[in-house]
Amino acid sequence: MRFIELKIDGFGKFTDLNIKFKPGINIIFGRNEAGKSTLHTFLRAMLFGIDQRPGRSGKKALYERLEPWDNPERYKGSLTVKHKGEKYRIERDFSISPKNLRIFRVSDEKEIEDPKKLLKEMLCGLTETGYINTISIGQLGATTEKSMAEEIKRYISNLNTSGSSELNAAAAIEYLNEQKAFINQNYQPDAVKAYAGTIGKIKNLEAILSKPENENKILKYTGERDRLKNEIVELEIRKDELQDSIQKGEKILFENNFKNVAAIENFREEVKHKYDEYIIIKKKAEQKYRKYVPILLIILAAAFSGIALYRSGSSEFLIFGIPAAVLTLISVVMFTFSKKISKKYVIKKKELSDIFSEQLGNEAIDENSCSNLDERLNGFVKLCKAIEESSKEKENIDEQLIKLSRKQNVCQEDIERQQEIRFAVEQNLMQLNALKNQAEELKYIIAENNRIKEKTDAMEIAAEKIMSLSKSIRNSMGIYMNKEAGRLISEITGRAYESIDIDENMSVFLNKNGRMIPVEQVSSGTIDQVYLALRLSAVRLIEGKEDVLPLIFDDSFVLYDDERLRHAISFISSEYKGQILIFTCHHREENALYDEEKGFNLVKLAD
Amino acid sequence: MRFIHLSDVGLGKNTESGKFWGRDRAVEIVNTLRRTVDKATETACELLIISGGLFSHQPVSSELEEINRLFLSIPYVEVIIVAGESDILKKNSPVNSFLWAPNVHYVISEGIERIEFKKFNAAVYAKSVSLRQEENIPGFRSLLKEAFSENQETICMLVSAEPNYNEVASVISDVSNEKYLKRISYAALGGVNRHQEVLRSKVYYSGGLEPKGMQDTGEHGFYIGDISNATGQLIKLEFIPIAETSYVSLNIEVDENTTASGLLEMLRSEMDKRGRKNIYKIHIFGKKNPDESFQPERLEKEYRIAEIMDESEPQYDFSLLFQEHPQDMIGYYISKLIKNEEDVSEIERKAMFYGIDALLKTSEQKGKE
Repeated sequence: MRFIELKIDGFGKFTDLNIKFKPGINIIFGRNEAGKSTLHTFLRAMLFGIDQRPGRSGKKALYERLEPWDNPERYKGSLTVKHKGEKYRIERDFSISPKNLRIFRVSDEKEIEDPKKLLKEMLCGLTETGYINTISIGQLGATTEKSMAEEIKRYISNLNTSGSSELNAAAAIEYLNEQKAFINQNYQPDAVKAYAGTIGKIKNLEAILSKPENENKILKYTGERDRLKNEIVELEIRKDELQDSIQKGEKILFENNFKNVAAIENFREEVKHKYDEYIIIKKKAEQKYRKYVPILLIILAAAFSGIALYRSGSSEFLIFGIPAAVLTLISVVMFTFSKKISKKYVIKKKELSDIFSEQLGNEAIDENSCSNLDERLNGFVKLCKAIEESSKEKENIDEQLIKLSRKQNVCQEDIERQQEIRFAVEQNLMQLNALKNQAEELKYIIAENNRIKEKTDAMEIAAEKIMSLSKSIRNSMGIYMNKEAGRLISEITGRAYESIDIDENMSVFLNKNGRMIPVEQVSSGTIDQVYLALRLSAVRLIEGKEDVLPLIFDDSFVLYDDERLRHAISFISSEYKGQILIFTCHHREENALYDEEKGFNLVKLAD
Repeated sequence: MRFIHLSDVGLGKNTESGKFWGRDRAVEIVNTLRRTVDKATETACELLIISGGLFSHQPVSSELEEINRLFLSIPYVEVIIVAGESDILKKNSPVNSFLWAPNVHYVISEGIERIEFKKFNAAVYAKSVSLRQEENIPGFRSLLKEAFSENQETICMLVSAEPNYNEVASVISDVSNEKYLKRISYAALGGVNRHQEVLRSKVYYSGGLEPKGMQDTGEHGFYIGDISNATGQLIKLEFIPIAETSYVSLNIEVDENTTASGLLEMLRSEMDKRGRKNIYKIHIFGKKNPDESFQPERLEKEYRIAEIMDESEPQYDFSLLFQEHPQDMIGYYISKLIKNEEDVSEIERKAMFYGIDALLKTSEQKGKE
């Protein structure tokens, strides 16, 4: 791109100013205060708009300072350029806004749709900062070598950090990091751990639940309990039955005054005994002679006693008297005996008949009644035996009942234990189900996490790539600059120095016959040349293949002496193939060019 | 005799990947079951068969209580429930000792259980899926054989969630099983997500009552059928879709004219049109405007969205970009990428787009300075 014409309607001190440029070298001459820097600023404003930053303390902002002195509303201008063979007119009306921009294609006055884009293309993507660092060259040449070397260092570092590629890289990486942070907000780093924990708990619970003691046996135990209950009830019924019959039996025995078998047998013996006695007594009692003999004896005794009495007083008295007395005695004794026996017989008979009538309801005393009594007594014996058996059975039942009651208690304990187990199982099941739900939620979170991670991984890769690219660009830039600047230095110094080397610390070394000489140690003239060489190589880095951008020198050589100036001008004019603008308040540049017999375009600014 | 056949209700699952509507789903599923039970009364059904998967996990007593109460409200309908894979019968399960209402028959035996219903002259051979150690699990054929010995006058039905489709199909295709198949009136099977006919007028999977995930496409509901009391044949069978929700796949193609808000609008209108109760899987694809940042996740709070896959790629004209940025980072980046574009892994491809996007976005900002 080269400048063709600039037109100021109103800008700073200028109103209605037209300047035409030619290809090649253009010298714009103007005394101090002629407005060279304003022009320079105008060019910059045309290319990039007016910087909107507020002015430094006390100073007004640039935009205000550049307002035209007359006619502030007419705050605009245009710059016609040639780009890729086509003429374009850049128009900016600063009264509308500091960045107001329109571009027209001169051939058909067609307005360009995307002027910013075109401008960028024209400038090879140069930003305003890049402009300052490359094609817009201000005053050169500090006084001491050291300060100059520092200036070079500063320049190089500025180039490094404000170069468009660097800016892009840092900003892009920051942008990616911001995006990454934004997406990562939803990342839940504990999810995997929580999931593992939950799965562990689930496995534990399942292991616990599948233990055999957790089997649901409640029905088994309640069935058992019911069975036991039934058994007990049956036994108790039986027991009641037995109790009943025992009582009945005992009542009968009691009523009959029999305590037990022994008593009955005793009784039987007694009765038998009595009966035997009775029979004997009866026999005895029924012996007639017992009745009659005493009577006979009494009669005899009476006879004898009569006789004795008759014959009393003689010895026959005693013979008849004693037998009479004896007979009487015997008879009395026999009578008494007989009476006794009778009495006994009656008593015995009464006893027996009482017994029989009580037992059999029949007074009769005979073999029949004996055998009947026997039978009856047998009956009682049976009853006794039965009662005994019943009692035994009852005892048995009592034992069984005790056992069963114990079993019941055990069963009850078992049931309670089962219920506890059941309760615990239910609790565990509920927990298990909740854990399973939790696990599913966590699984989803983990899947989300993975999706997030994919994205952030991709972003990291992108950032890494950008970083490595910018490094390699920087390296290649460095390499390029070293190469190009080295070539220029070598040419400009007539091979005094072969090449240049800039290290990571941005210290510059010049290669003289294989020796690396720090730039602080060379002459100021050489440092100038190094500086110019670096700037040129920086411009060339941006341009690419050809010198398409204009170089703008703004009072750059003010501090140079004539010799140096001539060398510099000579170097630049022969080396740079693009348009060159030199703003100056001297004629020295002109003269140098005349002497070199190099053609140039002179523009004189009015006072 | 009229009956309803349903399966795989999946009660108790109150989460769906942690989405806000997970719990609502659980409530909906219970409601669908209630509505099915209402239908049973409306249509004067005598038998309700749940062939497996009533619960989505081992049921606890409170859950059994709730179901018991539900069935207590229809005391004139006999209910048969067998366990399926999701609620597989375990020895420690509360189900083993739960006291059901008199009209509910939950099969807790490990083998085939025969349940007789004198009032409609039927015998049902039912098998729950249980955690058994032994190898010989009675399959579909065993069920058939067992039923074969039933008295000729009774209506014979089979209920099981165990045999899978292939097993059943192979048993049916085996000619030697024809006579066994002739004997039964209906086999109510479960454990398969979609409702399917395996043998016309005889063997059916009722499918889940409500769909459970993206893969459960199609209709969901229950079968209602009539078996002739005279002939014992199935004379009518109808599938009633009753599910409240469906899982729907939405595929949206975007282009460079699609804006972020435009996309949201499009999605909203589609989901409103098809029903807000449905659950959506959204797939976005196509070449989009690189400046547009789609945020379909915004809809996740308003609608039921199971998954969003944004596979749209920014439409970059790489060659144009390269022309515009010959010497700077972007140019370098693109040249590096264009060289490798063919065999690039998914993540590197993504990285490419992220990198270029970042570079372009930030250089534009700088360009404004």
